[in-house]
Amino acid sequence: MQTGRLRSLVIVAAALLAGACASGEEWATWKDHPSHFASGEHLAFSLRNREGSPTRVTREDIALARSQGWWGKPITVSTEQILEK
Amino acid sequence: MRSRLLRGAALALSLLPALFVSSGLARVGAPEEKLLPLDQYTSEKARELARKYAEELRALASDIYHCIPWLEVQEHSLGFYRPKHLGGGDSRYLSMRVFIEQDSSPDFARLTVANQGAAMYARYVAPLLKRMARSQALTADPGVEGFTIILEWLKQSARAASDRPIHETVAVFIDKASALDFLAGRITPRALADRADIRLWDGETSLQNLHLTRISEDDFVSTYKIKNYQLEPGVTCP
Repeated sequence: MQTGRLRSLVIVAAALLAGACASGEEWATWKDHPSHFASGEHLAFSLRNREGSPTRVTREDIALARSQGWWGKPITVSTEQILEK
Repeated sequence: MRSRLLRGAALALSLLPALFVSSGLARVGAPEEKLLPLDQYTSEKARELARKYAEELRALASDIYHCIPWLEVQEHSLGFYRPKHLGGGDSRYLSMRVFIEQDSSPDFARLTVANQGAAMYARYVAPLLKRMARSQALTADPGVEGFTIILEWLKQSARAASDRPIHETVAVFIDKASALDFLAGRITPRALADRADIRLWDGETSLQNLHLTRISEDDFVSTYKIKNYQLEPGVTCP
């Protein structure tokens, strides 16, 4: 009985972790193709439901894409040059 | 032994959602991160404004986050800053710096930096100013003397993959009287641009101040919808 429950829990946990890994794989694909993020429909990216069903894009998807440090540290004027706290 | 294993597995499973949350999934757009923390202000006047209008600032950050999702209000950029070029005194402007996810466009790339700045001004300044001035209490506060909107976007130029990206930046400073005149329809967008102080940078290089000779009409912010973009449950956009 307990062994059965343990097995079930392990299977569920493995499935959840596999989901997280799939997401990581998607990000890796994106990083290999950065132009996706800067071209035409770059914000309507296909993080979900890539095959068949319509793509859904949430605000979290967009924020996470940016949080990956997509473009690296940019060369830009610092806020301190413009404004004082 | 089995029972300990079972308890361990159950605990691990129960922690999974918390792990995902703490790893940043739930925090990436937190409005609080956009606000300049109170302890970083250099004057009590600014700190008091930030304390007084914290809810308004959070609402502004949240509104832009959800409703103009291709803009990113930069961390700690939202607050009551003092424009450096104003010299003496402690003039506090409600300020915000946003990064624009700009599609790659040959037409845009062909423009001079000044014209790119003008295009960005035409597209974003009015919609953002309207949002920043949404609170009547804030705009009526004599301690708030104007608005600063800093827009930046990725420079479109050929570069090696290993090169650091370059941003182009336009900073727009609008005194409160001009902002209120514009928002009330008493002056045109062109007149607002004449009265505003508009500065440009290419990367870290300061360029000439921008004098707009004409303002193109641009309703992109109010009309553009990201394909298949879904608002979070409970969020509405005006």
